[in-house]
Amino acid sequence: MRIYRKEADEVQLIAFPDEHVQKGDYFVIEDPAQSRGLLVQAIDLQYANVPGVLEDILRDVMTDGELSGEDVDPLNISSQVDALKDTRLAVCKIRGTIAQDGSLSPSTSWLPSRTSSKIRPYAINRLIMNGGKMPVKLGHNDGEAISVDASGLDGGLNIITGRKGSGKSHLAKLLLLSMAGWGAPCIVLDVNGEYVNLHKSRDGRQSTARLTVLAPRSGLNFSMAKLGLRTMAGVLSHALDLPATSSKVFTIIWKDLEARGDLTLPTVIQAVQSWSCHDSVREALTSRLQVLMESGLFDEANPLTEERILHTIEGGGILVVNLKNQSQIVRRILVEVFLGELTKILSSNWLKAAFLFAEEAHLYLRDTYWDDIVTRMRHIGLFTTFITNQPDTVQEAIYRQADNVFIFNFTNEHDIEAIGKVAKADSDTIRYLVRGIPTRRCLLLGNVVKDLPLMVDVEQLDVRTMGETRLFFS
Amino acid sequence: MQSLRGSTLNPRTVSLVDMGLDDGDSDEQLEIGASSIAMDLKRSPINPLRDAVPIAACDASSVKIGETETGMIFAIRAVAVWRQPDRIAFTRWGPLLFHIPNSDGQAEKYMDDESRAFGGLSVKTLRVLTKLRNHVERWVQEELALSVKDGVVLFDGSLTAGTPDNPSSRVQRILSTARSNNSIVIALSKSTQLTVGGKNILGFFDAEKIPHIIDITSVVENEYPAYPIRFLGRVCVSKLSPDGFLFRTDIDRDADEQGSLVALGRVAGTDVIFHGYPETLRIAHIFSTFTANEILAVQRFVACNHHVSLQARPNLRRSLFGPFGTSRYVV
Repeated sequence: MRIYRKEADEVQLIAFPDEHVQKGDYFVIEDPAQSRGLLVQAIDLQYANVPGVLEDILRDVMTDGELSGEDVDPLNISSQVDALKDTRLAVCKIRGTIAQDGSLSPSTSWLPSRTSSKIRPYAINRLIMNGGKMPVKLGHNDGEAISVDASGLDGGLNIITGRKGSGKSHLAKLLLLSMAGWGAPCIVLDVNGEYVNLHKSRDGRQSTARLTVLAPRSGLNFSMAKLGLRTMAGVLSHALDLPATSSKVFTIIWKDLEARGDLTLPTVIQAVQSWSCHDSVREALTSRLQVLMESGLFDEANPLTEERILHTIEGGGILVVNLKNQSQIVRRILVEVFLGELTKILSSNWLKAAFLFAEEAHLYLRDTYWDDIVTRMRHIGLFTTFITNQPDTVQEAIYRQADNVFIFNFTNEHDIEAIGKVAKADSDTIRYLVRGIPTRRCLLLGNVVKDLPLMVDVEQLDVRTMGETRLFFS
Repeated sequence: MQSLRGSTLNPRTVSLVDMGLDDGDSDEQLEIGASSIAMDLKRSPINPLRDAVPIAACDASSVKIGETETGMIFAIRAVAVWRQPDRIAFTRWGPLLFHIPNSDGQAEKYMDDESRAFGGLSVKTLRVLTKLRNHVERWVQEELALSVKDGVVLFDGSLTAGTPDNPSSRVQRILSTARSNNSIVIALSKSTQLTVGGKNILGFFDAEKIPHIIDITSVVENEYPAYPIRFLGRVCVSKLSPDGFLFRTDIDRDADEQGSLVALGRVAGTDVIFHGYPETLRIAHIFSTFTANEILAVQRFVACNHHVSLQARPNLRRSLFGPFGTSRYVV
């Protein structure tokens, strides 16, 4: 390989056909005179714009039809021409400088010699793990195993995105199991019920994963009194859009019943019926409380307590909140209640931190929660991973704040533009690398890869994923 | 070429607008007196014939690859093309590489303006190159004359011979071989230097639209010394298609006039005529010409296989004069 040109933060390398280069590969341009190397990453491959290549191709085309012949080429020069025609131009982004001791610095204020520099592939995984003590094996890159340190996912906001069927849920499950394996408390908001069998291998064997699955009417029910006024008022206001005036009346009724020690959903409904208030307020409250009643989420007899949630997830447990087959309103109520409970647990310091995996969060997360997750919840120790195939449904602020982004294949310009707002990489890198990558290959950005964008073929999982689309013709 | 091991090569600059030497397709320079052209010249129509006769053509090209410390490296390639009823076949020989050393085996001290007029080559180097290219081209012509039976063999250029680089005996032998196979040789020149009063001769006969031929042998011979240059063909100006250009056309002198017209009719009727030029000959030209890529490939081949290091020498003229570093001659 040879350096062709450098412009801004891009270096263009000439690669001959016998030199292996693919999008995402890292190379170090070592300048022996300067005892350091420029670390670059190929983000796009083009044909080298060799002068006159059109003439050659046109002449080749002429021989495709009725023209056939024989080349007596004793020196085999035609192979050299073919080599030139197949010579590629690797457009590379400069990622930093590798010092003589192998350390990486972000300095890019120097240029290696174009004539004496040696260009060689660089195994980036040695920089990524860099002494990490909790490896999470994500997969491989060009035959090399790629592991990241679990601490890179700690304390942050992660996004896994890609078009449908590209493998994002697969990666989410891999991360979930790995994090739980390192003792991290994990909660999954499972829209499609595809996480419920993660503790079983494909052939039905039980794995070591400590998995608890809860669903409405199946262990996932709450006591109104235990949830408290704040959570219930939040549910009514945010999940069921209760007007402010009605909300005030609800607060008065709540306090009255609480003082009497008779705070259940049926008693609240009864109180509202007989309460002296405007009919429109009564109607607004009654209809919403009926929705809560019909959701099956409230059961005073055997409610899910904070203690039980804590016990389930503590020390590497996975709690799957199965939202499959639930209406959007029930999902919103449930998420509102559940996040309220988690906030209470974390605010009380009963748990150091928890990792929340939220599939298609736009289906159940209210608008104001996005900001809450990015700001307040991070500080109390709730670290969220959003998984979505609709990147434009995730707010721009989330992309800007994201600590790690895992991007699978996208072909739609609109989607690529949406994820281009990620602050962890330049838009060129995302645009060039993401387009056309195969299923299960993923672009990693952020802390886990020390801000060195990396392509990874995600590891196969021996678990029942249950995430595949049900097909008729198979 | 073997002796080059370990030396350096100054590769030629590859540019799409300046490919240096062409394939040498130009005939002798000759100014014909204006009075001669006034002679009553016969114009014969060409009737396209759709006979299934073989039509073959050949061409050769040479190109400078670069300068070594002791000379220059050239590549030569020759092509033969056959039009058959259902397809066109070709054989391409080369590129063949030649290292032409300077006379004293030393680097040329300077390049004068005269050498620049010949694409940066000295007269001596140019002569050696011409001789080599002619040799390769004549060899292909010999092969075609031997292999084509009852057909038409098209050459690029003219049937003029008689210089040390282009001996007439060899051309005569080719024509004779073709004749013995009942074939006829026709040479078409893309650019002729036959002029009348400074104006190219082709401009004088461009009024007629239908395919035709005008024999100007007598005019040319009257104006040209009989020795050493020999016209082994009848020198004509021909138009092979109504929308085509005129070309100087040399036809084997020993073919009778009727036979010549039939042969041209067969070319006009059997071959595809592109702007008045036979497709077979056009393909031969295209396939023999070196593209910029091929020059780069040969440079790479020389560097890899002969262990020659590529070192572009600074262009003194360009360094000293910048954009004004051109010659008095237009190259």
